Amino acid sequence: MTKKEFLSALSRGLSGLPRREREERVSFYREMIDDRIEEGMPEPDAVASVGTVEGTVAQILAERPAVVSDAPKKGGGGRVWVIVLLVLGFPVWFPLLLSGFAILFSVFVTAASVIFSLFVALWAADASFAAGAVGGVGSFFVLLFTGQFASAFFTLGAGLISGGLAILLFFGALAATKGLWRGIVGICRWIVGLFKRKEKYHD
Amino acid sequence: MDIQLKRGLLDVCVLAAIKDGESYGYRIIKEMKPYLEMSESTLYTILKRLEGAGMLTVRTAEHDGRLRKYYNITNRGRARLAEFQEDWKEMMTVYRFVIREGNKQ
Repeated sequence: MTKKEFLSALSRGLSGLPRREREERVSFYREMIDDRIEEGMPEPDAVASVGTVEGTVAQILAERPAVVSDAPKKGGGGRVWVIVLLVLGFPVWFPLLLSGFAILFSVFVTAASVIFSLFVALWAADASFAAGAVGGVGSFFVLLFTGQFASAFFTLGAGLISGGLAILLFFGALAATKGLWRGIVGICRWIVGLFKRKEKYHD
Repeated sequence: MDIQLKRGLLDVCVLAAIKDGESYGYRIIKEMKPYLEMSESTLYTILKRLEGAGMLTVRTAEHDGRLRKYYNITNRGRARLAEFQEDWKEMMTVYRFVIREGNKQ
């Protein structure tokens, strides 16, 4: 076997290793064979004295974990420990996580129902004032035709005040509703943004 | 032989092979041959380990129209050799005790 054949076969045998490591190992063997040839050994003998390709590949792969275990681990080992801790700690962290979600959910539901009731109350008040205004003006005409002028004008005044309040409250309620809508849209965008950021991490 | 002990011994052997001056792979194997047979694969593993531990440095230089890697021992490598000699003295004391006890039985 020639040096070239040996090194090509060795490279193919080590194809599972990272490219840089494979190249380094192959060049180490090239140097070893070249040194033997330089010493006067015929090329086939120099190649044979290094060993067979199969034996060399097997030995490299068998000895490799020993090197890896001595090198400072970057990420891989830590990841295994995180998985082990996650599995072992499942009975502890899962109920805690569940309780956390339950608390967050109940706070959210409570806040949402309080805000919703306030809005319902606001619009209901506005509707009552508007109804008061319609009722006041209607009663004014009825009382006017029946000759009860004092009561008619009192009712008209009350109706107009009620109408004014209804108009004021209408704009207030409208502004509050717009604000609430913007708030809901903002929260939705924030939630969607959270997921988008997570996708970036996956990249 | 215990794997850790053997690994430690091989590391020290390689350090000893370069303690008097820089050397290269094939020469290290040749110098060790009368005492210890070591394959290229094992030597590569040990050299990488010692380099990672800062006990030797590597330089690549052109030799006869090709590249060759030269290995130099560092102060940390020399300290490891000195430490090994101290450890070995202790080990020999324990060894003599073990042998003596064995002979009595």
